[in-house]
Amino acid sequence: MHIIFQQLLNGLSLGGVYALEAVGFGLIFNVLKFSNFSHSAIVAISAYFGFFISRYLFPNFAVTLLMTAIFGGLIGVVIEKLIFRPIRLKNAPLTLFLVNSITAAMLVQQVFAATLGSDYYTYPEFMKETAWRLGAFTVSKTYVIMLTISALVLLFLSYIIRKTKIGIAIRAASSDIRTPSLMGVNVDFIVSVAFFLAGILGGITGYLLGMTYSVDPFIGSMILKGIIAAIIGGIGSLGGGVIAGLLLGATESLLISQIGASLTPIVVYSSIIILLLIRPEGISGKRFIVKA
Amino acid sequence: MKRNLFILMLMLLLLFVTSTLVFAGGKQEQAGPIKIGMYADLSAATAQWGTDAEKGAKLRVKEVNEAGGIMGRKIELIVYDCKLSPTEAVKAYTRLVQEDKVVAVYGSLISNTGLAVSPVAEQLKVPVVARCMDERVTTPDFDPEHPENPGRVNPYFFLLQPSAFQQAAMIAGYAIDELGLNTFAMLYSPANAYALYLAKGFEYYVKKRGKKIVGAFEFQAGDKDYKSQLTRIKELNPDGLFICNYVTQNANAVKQARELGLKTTFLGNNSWYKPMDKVAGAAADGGYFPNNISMDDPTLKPFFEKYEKEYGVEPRLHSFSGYDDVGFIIEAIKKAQSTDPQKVRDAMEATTEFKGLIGTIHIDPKTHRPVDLPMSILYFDGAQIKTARLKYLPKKP
Repeated sequence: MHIIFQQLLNGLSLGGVYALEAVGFGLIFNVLKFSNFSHSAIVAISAYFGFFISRYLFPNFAVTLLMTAIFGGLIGVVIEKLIFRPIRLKNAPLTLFLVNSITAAMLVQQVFAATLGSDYYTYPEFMKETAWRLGAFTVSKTYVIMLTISALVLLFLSYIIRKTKIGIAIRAASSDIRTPSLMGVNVDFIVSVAFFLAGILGGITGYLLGMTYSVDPFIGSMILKGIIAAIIGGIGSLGGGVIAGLLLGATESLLISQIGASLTPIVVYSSIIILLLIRPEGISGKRFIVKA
Repeated sequence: MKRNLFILMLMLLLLFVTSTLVFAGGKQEQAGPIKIGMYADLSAATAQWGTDAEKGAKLRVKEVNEAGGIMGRKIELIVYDCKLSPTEAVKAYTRLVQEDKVVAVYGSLISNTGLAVSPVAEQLKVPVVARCMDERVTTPDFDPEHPENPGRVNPYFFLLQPSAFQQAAMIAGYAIDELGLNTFAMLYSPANAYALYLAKGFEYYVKKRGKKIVGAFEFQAGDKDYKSQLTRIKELNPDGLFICNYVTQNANAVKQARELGLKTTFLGNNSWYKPMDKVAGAAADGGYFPNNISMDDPTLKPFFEKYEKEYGVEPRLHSFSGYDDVGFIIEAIKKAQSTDPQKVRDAMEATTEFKGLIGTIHIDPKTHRPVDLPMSILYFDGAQIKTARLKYLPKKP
């Protein structure tokens, strides 16, 4: 019995990362209604940024995490201004957004593979003992940190989105992007803020992934699980993404221990297809007419 | 799908190569330097291995030439970059044979390039010497489920380091006889042929010795989290855990195993060598693994001095490989007293005692792999790599 509980603990901590990714991904979907694969580019860039500043500038966890989060946010805004804003102003079809986001993700991956791909990048060790032992159970500190930070960030985000003026504007834009602009809301600014917030989440994800697993050019592709969580959770529903992320992590962990790593993805992916056939809106999402 | 496409491409390439060969012929020049070819990864992710091997190889050629060459002729080493790509390797090999008319070729150590070049070498009949670990490079019908019977040997390909099964036996033998371990688990990615063959070889040796594999745990190629598998392994509590993948995967595995509090002894493959010390840090402490050489070996000292004088940097593992492997080719030419690739091949097959820096090579004519070539067993202590045993050979299973 206690083995299953340990597996659940392993899974929940992994799920915390999926949740972070799902929310970063879902936030952009909410506003612009397209699947933003360039989120993985932010994750990868931030993972390297976090490595370089923590290894060579400030070997301090909190400081470098904060810097990487802000840096991720800025990269998010830059990506938006460079590759999405021009086509948004031209009222380009949503497919083009999707194509641009995938291209940006692959571009960043290849640039890293060509320049930094042949070496190994390991974050400095911030703590001597990386786990807490509670009786027979082991809880990984990094994962607890991930879960806590994810929870704090998500609480903060939901506060911004529900209570602040800019949050209300984002929500307005997410139900219809044109009307608010007619009412004098600066949509350009709203979109930038959304990308900044998503970028912060991407920055934190990149930092935490890099710290846990060491950095490689393909680290961004780990957000695929987060995207899946966002879809199960009901794309656009941030809370749903969190629940689905945790669920996905726990399910995976239990399945791998019971049926092995090669069968697990088959079971997971086919269940997702079945789930979406029965409930296309996901666990808690609303149905969207436009999906990319 | 990808594999089918690859085989199809290879077949087309073969067809092209053989049809041109009929007309081109493979005559060696009788005057001027004796040409030896080399294809290696001088760029791409494994560039460091390729460039180190090239430096070692060039040093050997320089020494032989300064001593007057062989058969009154100098040696010339022609090197092409194969960029970690099987198709580039086949192109480089074909070019070396058809345009440069080399006597023999020194190939890249990446098994995928060896698997691609091997059938081409059989067609063009110019021998290749390399350090691949995959048994199928010299014995294409090798089946990891039945290692006793290696099958047909490719007459034109030779491997100069212990193969995957031989290396797995090194660490398994050491674990059983020197560390006194009886039960084992394995953690590996079956999508990686290198890891799969090591795991199969480990399992084969352990079972033959009457010991027990209590669990074989797999993970997917892109996975970075192995806690589910490791939690199961902790529950099974084996004496030893064999972790035999690439360096970052090995590092992630030992870090997570430490976190979960596994008490078992870690056993590794040759990817536990540098930069594993940098990537895994102290998490790898107490783990044992096999490596071709130990830098602590006092007999290597003179080479260190020679190499540093020539290049101004310390030699790394494959600096030694390059020096040895090209030496092996030159020795075969000398013994054959001929630049006919066929006669050089015959001399290679008959090699029973080539004294290299890394070890003495005795080629098994049935497999074209070295017989009883020892390796050093190294271990981690305080995030440093130290030597447990120089030149170890396991008991026969």
